[in-house]
Amino acid sequence: MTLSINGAQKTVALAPHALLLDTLRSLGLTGTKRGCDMGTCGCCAVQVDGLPVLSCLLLTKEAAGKEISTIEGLGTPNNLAPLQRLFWEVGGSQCGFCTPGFLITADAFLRSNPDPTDQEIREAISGNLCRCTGYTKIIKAIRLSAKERAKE
Amino acid sequence: MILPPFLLHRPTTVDEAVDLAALHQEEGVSFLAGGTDLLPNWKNRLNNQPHLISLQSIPSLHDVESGKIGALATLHSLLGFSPLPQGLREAIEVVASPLIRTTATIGGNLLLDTRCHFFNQSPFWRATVGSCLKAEGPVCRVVPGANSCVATFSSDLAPLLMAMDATLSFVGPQGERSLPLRTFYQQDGIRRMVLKPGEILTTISWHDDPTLLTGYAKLRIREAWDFPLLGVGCAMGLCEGYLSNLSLFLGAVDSIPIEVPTESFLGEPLTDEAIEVIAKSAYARVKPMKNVGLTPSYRKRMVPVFVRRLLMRLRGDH
Repeated sequence: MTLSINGAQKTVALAPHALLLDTLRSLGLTGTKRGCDMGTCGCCAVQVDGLPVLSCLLLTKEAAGKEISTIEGLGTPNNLAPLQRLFWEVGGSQCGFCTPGFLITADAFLRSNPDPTDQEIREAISGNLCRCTGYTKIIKAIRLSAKERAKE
Repeated sequence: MILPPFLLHRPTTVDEAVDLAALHQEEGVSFLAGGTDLLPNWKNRLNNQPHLISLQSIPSLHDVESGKIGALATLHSLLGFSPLPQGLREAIEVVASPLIRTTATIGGNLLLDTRCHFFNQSPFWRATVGSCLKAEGPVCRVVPGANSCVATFSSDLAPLLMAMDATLSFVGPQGERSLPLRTFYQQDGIRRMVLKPGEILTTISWHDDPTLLTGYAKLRIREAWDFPLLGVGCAMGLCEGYLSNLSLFLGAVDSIPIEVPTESFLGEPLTDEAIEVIAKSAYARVKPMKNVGLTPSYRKRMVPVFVRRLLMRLRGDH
């Protein structure tokens, strides 16, 4: 079957019960992380038709015909997306394992709410767990990104 | 955790789904809505079936109109729908996390499996304590000697929709039928509801009354993700300060939502004294089990607190 991932068409051979997380990682898109694998931690978040979803709880076949965006589609090491650069600059990422999930969630959130309050940011990322940063700097990075986007 | 193998079917009409279910009934079939409850359970080897019939590709199940919602409408999509009763909005906003709500559905939430410390565990964990009545059996770890399962009812939407007297519509091998949500659940943590084999929940509907005041209050440890440790759903009609309607349901304190009787207050003003009587009667009606977070006694003591606060808020205090 064919999947549309980060704007490119990829053909994959699948077991019927393959989860999108496993499919993406088998394609070498290992930026999407396997955390709890139970829908609790948000590390596996990807965007499907622009909405953040948990790829550990989505059967790959259900994503067929939809636009899948992963962290690899957001930016690259040499060309970081503004949100990624801000996470880096303010220290919103430490060990980095949860970071792709936060970036995917925050990117979708800022599109739907370009001028969020801190409380709205907290609610938006409440499905993502981080055990390093204490969230303060993640919230700061998202807030700064909103301000940057507003200036543009 | 790796999903066990199964065959995935993706019908595009309800009739096709019903036929597929009938065809594979003997081998074992489950329906898939959003999957945020079913797939973690299957990963834990709970309720697994060889056939999974996904309802996600059936367009009619996603229809949303005022007072009538397709079972496959996602919680996220409902938050963007107007007009949505305030209480339903409150209940949806506290379900799990925003990431879950983008795929979780209203029908899936109403059919959510009951939960228990001894059930929602990995096979390894369950094997170390010798399993539970709801999983492999044969003994209940919460109430030794119990013949029926006491797992906790964990849907946030059900108490509220029961207070609103919502109606469920189904399509099954015997055709269509409708049922008041209030008669849908049954007091058994394993056979949790009167759903017939092969039957599909298609729509959730209610009488759209813009004057009805609705609200939901939820007790949980974390302000995200957690299932309810107590949920209070209320629908109230107030006519010049007098109660024309009052329905109150408590979730997560039993295997089904518990109704608090309120008939004797109809036609009366909702005074502080009346609220106190209702709160005490709610307290007296529940016996939470030691099978989810927090202690049963704390959850029980929170019942009158949450009932009182919700009634006062709906009355228009502060």
